[in-house]
Amino acid sequence: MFNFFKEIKTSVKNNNFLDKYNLINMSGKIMYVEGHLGLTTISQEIITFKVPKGRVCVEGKNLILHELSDQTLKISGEISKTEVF
Amino acid sequence: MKNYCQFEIKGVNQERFFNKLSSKVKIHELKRLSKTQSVFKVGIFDRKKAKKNILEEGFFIINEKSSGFLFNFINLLTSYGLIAGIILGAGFLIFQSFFINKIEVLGNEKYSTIEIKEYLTKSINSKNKSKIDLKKVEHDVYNKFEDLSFVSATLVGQTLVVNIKEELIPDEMKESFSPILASESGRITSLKLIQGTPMVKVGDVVRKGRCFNKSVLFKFSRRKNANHAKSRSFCRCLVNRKCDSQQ
Repeated sequence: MFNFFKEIKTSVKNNNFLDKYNLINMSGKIMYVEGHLGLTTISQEIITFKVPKGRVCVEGKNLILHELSDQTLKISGEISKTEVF
Repeated sequence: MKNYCQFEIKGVNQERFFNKLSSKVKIHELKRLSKTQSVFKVGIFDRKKAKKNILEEGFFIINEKSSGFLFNFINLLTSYGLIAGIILGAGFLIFQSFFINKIEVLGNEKYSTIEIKEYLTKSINSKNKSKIDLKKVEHDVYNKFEDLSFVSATLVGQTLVVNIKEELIPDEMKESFSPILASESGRITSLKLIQGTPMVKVGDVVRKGRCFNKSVLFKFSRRKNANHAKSRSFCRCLVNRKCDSQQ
């Protein structure tokens, strides 16, 4: 089966560090995350979640956590900024 | 999401709760309405699990709403009226399977189906399957209607199937038969039997008029006073004078 993340990783030479989490932003409307470690903040303007050795903050308007499971999450809304700490 | 259950909950430290819940069930369309209030959806089959977790964590459920075809179907199945209807329907089906509701007649040509059915309806007093004696039915039909050579009755589901065969008279039976008699007195030198019972053998001395070959009686009917029972015989013999008897 075709794996989008795997294909990108294999195209980069030094890809040993690319095994922590995957995050993809689609036109600033949808954000899909793989490998998160749990939510820390959730509101309609900001959603933050833990990732291995860090934290990700997503800012925007009318943010909805469209899907949340043990490993993955999907955020939908007007995403204006994504920061990794 | 077509089949879902939506919860609107109230409580503090909701992030921790959602992290815990997401490890057990998949959460959909989570929206934070205020600091203490959120709304989210779970699959219809995760409804009970999610509700149990919400209450265990000390959250207050403001609103719970289920939707979708699957939910409506499950709801319908669990409604007591429908269950009662199904049980009653099944009971009625089982009850009526003990009775016959149809009589079918096969193989009749001479007698009409309606005529046989009417007779059967009268002769079978009860419609209860266990009270119907099939052998008696066969016997009754056989005795009531003339010229039947075969009658069988079986129960197929709720149908009484009566299969009859009307009597078949072979062409030979329409002819007249008589035993072969010696036309002259003499000694038999050869005898060729084609059909029948030989009454003499080669070397026997026979007188004129003695029976050579006897007809065999075939019973085509089980009735005691059968009129059609006849036989046919052929015999070719040669006596030592100049007689050649053949029939």
